[in-house]
Amino acid sequence: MTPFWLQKFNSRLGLFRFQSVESIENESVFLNFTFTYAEKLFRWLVLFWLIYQLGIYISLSTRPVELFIPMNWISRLVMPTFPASGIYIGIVLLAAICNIISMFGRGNIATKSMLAISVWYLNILTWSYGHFSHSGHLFVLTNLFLVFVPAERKGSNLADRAGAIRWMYIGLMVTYSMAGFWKMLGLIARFTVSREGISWLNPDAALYNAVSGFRSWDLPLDNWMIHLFTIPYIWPVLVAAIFFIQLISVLVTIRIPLFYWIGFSTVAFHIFNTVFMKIEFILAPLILLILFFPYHLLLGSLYRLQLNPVREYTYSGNGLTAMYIRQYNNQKDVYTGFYALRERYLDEKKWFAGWFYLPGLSILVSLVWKLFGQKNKETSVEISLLKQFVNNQQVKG
Amino acid sequence: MKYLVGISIILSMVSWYTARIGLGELYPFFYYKLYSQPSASKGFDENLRVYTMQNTILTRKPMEDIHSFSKDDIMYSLSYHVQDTLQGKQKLAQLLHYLYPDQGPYWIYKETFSIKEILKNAERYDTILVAKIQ
Repeated sequence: MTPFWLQKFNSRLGLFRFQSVESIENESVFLNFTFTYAEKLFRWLVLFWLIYQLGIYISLSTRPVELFIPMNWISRLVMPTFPASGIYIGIVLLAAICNIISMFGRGNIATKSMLAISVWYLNILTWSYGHFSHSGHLFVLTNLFLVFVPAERKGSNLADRAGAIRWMYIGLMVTYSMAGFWKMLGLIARFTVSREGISWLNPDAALYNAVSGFRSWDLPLDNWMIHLFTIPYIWPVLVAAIFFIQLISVLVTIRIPLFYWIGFSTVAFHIFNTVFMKIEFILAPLILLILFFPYHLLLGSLYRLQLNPVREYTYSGNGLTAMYIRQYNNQKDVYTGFYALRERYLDEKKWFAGWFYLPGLSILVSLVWKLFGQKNKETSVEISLLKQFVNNQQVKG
Repeated sequence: MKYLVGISIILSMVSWYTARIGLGELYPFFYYKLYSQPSASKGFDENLRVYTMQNTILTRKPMEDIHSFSKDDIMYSLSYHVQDTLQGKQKLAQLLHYLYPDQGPYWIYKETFSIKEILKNAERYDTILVAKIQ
């Protein structure tokens, strides 16, 4: 709920919104629909990953045993030496069985916990040879969070499941926000306390990073790549953009219109790094692609069947006095001012509409409208009328 | 679920703190501090490379995937063992005999170079001997 003081402040800026029960249900439908298919595909990914781990085990077993070094206290505890084949294969099998149970929609907290713990255990093997990589973390973390999203069953509560899904996406994407936070801090540091060296906003930064990455693999940078990296202005802008997107990744399901922007930018970011920087992340972009694939576009008719249909859209006024109404079978969504504009753009499928949902933007734009636009004293009066209307609707509903 | 996400974030922060005070990382999910500055931001970079004697000529081993070691594995293993002052030499010997059997002794050089120079000519780097492994 929006706190009262903010409501009061918002009403002065012509900002008022009322989301109907039907509209909230539609959000739950979206999250459930997307996740249901994402989980199906993810289970297949887990199965292939488990088979792949057997290959890794065989490959790593050829290394001298002395090179096996547990890297932290947890690995020292659970995998102090190279694991015996019986144990390792046993755990792969256990994980595979738990995963297959989930594939048939019969998973519960016990089987999914066992799978998550097994995946985490199996993952330790690769990273017991002198270095950790971050590339396996998203996979382990996804398995962990999946434990707490209940399987879809007949009569299960849609809203509860949607709530768990919402938090799962937040939990996964907050890792990118943390990465973005450090990069932002690094940027500030470079302009203040540690001025030695170029910052990420320097036009050469991407080139330097790429040369360093390629050289570490003894690969030459192709001429066309050098040309690409020396195009003026574009790199600082791209770098700033991706820092920003990383930083706001946590908003993924808090502001659903940003869902695909965040998902696909992050996938693009990983693919770019793998190809152009030799910073290889394979599993992470695959997982993100599965989690963020627009299944509702592919299976449109199936999706629309589950939605509460909108009977009518009406938009009136403009700027601070704009009003947008979505009429469902029973209730209405009502938005005014900047909220009305962005909801309308979203429904009209304007490509940039998602960005209008950045936190704080509505207040900023409304302030600008208020200060420089036409003065309209009726705004707050209308809103008080609207509130009455919505209250009546709630009583009836 | 809410609480799980909260715990995860808190553990990441604790992990940052424990790593800072030298206790290592408490939480296996790290704290996601990657590339907070561009690589080679000072215009210079360095890599470790293995050299062996072939027909009385010191020959550089190019970076490539060997057996179960990817390029990254080799890169990180070399730098990990080189920094290990206690057992590093012994581990390096085991690693190098596995990667390049019957080619000992091995020399590990640190190659330092300027980013701008290496772009023009891949051979323009300086070498500093780091270790000789029998």
